[in-house]
Amino acid sequence: MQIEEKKLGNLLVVTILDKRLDASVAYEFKSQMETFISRGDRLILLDISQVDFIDSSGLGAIVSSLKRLSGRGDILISGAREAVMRLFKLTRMNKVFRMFESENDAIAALS
Amino acid sequence: MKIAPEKRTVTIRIESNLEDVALVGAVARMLASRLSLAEADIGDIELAVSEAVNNAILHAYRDEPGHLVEVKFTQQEDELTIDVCDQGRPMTNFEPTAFGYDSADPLRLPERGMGLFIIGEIMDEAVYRSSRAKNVLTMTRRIKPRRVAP
Repeated sequence: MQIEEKKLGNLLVVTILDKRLDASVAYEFKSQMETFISRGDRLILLDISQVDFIDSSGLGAIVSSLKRLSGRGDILISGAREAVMRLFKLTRMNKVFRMFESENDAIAALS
Repeated sequence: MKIAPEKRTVTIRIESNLEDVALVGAVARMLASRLSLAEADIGDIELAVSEAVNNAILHAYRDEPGHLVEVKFTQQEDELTIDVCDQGRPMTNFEPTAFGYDSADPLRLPERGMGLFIIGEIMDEAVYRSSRAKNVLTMTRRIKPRRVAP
């Protein structure tokens, strides 16, 4: 799967470039996130503005990444489209993750 | 003369490969799009079907390739019925509504087990049957006619 990363101070912005975060790529995504966390990234903004579809496995991989931080960091989410936001709301994960309409909104909220 | 209500059936078969679940999702989206459903409802049906096929591959077949998953879509009058069939390990506990957690406790958040809950939330009915080495999850979504402005 294609992921782009950029560092803004202590914030790591991870942009998913694929259209889908589903069961077929969930393990790969989780491994990539674990690599970021293992190297010391503790504050991660996950930009999913290009993602059309997330299933429960993809969502589970995001949750797993948050748990990997063991309360010593955070994962924020930006750019969730309507269908993707629906999944977060159905599972109440919109109450777990701080969600922003855009990357800029998230960065502004952090500054 | 009484005209029988239109019934349309489409069946798609894939191997137990997670990369092919998107194909089934695309068919679900295409069929749902023809039912004058709102975009949110079309997305719901794509998600529910994808979750059901994921379950068949990951749980019934333990993510082993080379097994058959058959998905049959039946549109009749005011409902769309989707049967997801496999011949793998049957589910012993089918509880699509059992899902709860404390959102304030991040270390205990669920990473798995959300699929059946999602299906239960999205579809009007979800029934699981297992007999003669065949498992079938039947999901039904009623189609409400769109309101037309006077």
